[in-house]
Amino acid sequence: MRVAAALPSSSAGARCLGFDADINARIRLASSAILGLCSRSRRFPMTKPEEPTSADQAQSEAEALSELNVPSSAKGRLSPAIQQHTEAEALSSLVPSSRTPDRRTTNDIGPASVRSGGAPAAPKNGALGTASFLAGLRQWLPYLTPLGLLLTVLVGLGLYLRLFDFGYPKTLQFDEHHFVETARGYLKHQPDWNDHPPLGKLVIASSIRRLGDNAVGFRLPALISGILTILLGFIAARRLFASRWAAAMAGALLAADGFLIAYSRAALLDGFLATMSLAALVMVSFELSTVWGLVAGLVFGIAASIKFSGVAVALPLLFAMAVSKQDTRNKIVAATVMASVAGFVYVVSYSVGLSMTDKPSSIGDVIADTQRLLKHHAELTDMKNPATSGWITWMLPTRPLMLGFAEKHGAVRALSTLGNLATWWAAVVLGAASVATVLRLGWLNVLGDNSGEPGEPGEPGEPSPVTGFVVAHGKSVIAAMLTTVAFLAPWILTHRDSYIYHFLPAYAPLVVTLAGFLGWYETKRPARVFGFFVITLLVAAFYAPLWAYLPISHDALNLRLFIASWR
Amino acid sequence: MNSGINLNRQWLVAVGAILVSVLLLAFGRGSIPREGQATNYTITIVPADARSLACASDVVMSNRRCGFNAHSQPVNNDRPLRPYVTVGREVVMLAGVFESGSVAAWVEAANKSGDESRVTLDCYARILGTMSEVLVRWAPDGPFQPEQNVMVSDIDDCVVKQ
Repeated sequence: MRVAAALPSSSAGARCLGFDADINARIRLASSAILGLCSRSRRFPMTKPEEPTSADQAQSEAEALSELNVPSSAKGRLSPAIQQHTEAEALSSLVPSSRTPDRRTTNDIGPASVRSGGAPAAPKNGALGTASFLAGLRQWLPYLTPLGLLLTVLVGLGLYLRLFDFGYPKTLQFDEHHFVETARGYLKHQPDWNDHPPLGKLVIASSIRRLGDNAVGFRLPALISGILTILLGFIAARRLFASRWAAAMAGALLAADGFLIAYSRAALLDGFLATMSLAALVMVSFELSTVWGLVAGLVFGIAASIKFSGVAVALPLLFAMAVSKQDTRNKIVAATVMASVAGFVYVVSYSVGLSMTDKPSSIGDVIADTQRLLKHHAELTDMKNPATSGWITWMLPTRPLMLGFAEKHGAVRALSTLGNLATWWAAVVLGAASVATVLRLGWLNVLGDNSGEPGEPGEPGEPSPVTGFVVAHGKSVIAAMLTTVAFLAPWILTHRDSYIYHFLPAYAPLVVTLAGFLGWYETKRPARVFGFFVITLLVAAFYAPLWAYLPISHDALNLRLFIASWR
Repeated sequence: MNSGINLNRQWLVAVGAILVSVLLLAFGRGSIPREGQATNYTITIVPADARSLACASDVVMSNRRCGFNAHSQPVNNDRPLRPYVTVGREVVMLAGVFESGSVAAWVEAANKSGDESRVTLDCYARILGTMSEVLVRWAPDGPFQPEQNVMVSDIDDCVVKQ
């Protein structure tokens, strides 16, 4: 059973040195400890780190010091426990710990300088360069496992499916005509007849201007956004769940999911919103500051300027403010900066859009046009389009959309928004169970400092895995669930026509939560998590043709789309 | 010891899963039907298409040919090939769509009631081959336009989906 209480704030060195077992981390941490510079982590304390025992802590410090050949004069300034273990390390010539960095522990938080992967500083000569290269390699060796291999293959497959015949089809698919035609219109100073704010279409217009009016030109922003989504999912999981494995799992799950792949291959706006959704989640993992307010404002402003439903990112950002340990004054400053920057981004991007269509573009015009669009959206409630689907049906889903479908000589080429069913169903079930757990345990109980993680699965009286996960990562889970709920709220609370793609920005944080859970559960039941990724890979390979226009026969297509409403 | 065995087993499972995935991607996408094999098409039609759709060519495939020769002169033919566009936007040449029982009955009923609405057909057919070049017409008084590399099939049956 692990102890997960927060570390004593007075023990800065212990806090730094207790977390990361990788070599570079230890080198940096040790040097910081020696110099007394182990500064307060800038990481927002979303996860209760495991408190190392004094022996573990001292051993970790000692390992780091032995790596450095710490001089005795420096050792003299260290705590007795560290000195004791340093001597022991020297005697036993202990090699760096074979303990997997965060395979078996989740305590790989460490300061910002090492969390990013701990790449050592550039060496000044060849020998140092080789040593540093080998050290870098050795850092990743523990990840060379069957699970690591599967995750790598999933990411590779996801990238391949995004890039395969990327310019296909040359003509517009699905709703692309809404956005590509209006983007073309911006370049020709023609009216924007689409019902969303201009930013997403301005981005497409900018790409068309640079790369030409062709399939790659108008779809490249979607591809870049799709790859950014993977990276942001990686970062969000890394920071929120304090685990490299969770980060790698998030990257793999986001990469090998047809819902996200399809939107990386189409000049549509919802992929951009998914990126912003995860950007907001990443922001939650940082502590409040003026810079935080600036970046959060950018995220908020960009999201709201793509689609009105993008204002949903405000909820996780407000949550970050609410749970921040900063004083009220700093919170007010951060909130003011965020709101100002978001408003500035919205007004400026909207104004640019208006001016490019030769319309008046003052702040008043932006407000008036915004009101016009909001009124228009409020009236779209008939749900008569056969492609519409209620939000509750997205959980299965009952009506994924075909973004593209073409036949040639008996073969079909299709692009479906049906996700990876292993990921989809697991993420939805976990999301529902997490929300239920938070409600059952009580919001404040989950947010507050708990004395420790509950017992290990399998122990008598053990909690369910979901309860264990929620208790261990309460704030992170709540942040992710709030992001999901915020993006679902417009479709739950109103009767506005809804489609499966409205689920995309809510789905991405669900997948990150699933990765966090799997990263946590992997330390308890590694075989089950490994099995899950085997299934995920097989499902991805099975559905891959439908996610990237790979030619497939009618029978094989129908076999995959075994529910009639999926076709 | 046990963990070593488990790890080795996991390596085997991981490599096996990757191999299966590669095989699924390479060979799990079904076989594309070839000449002489059965296939199915989903098309949409209106009753007037029976008179509007036509093609012109001298090519004959298993006794099936267009209603017009290469000089756009009518040819006596009770089951002519006609051009259709599938829901997957492929131009195909099919013989026997309007001659199949359920479609003929639907056309007759539609003509009597004056209903010009469009319906979707699921058609089962046998592939005859590919025409490298053919002229097609989409309206009775419309011009013949060239199409290339078009698949030709003979219909076994069509089902009208309302």
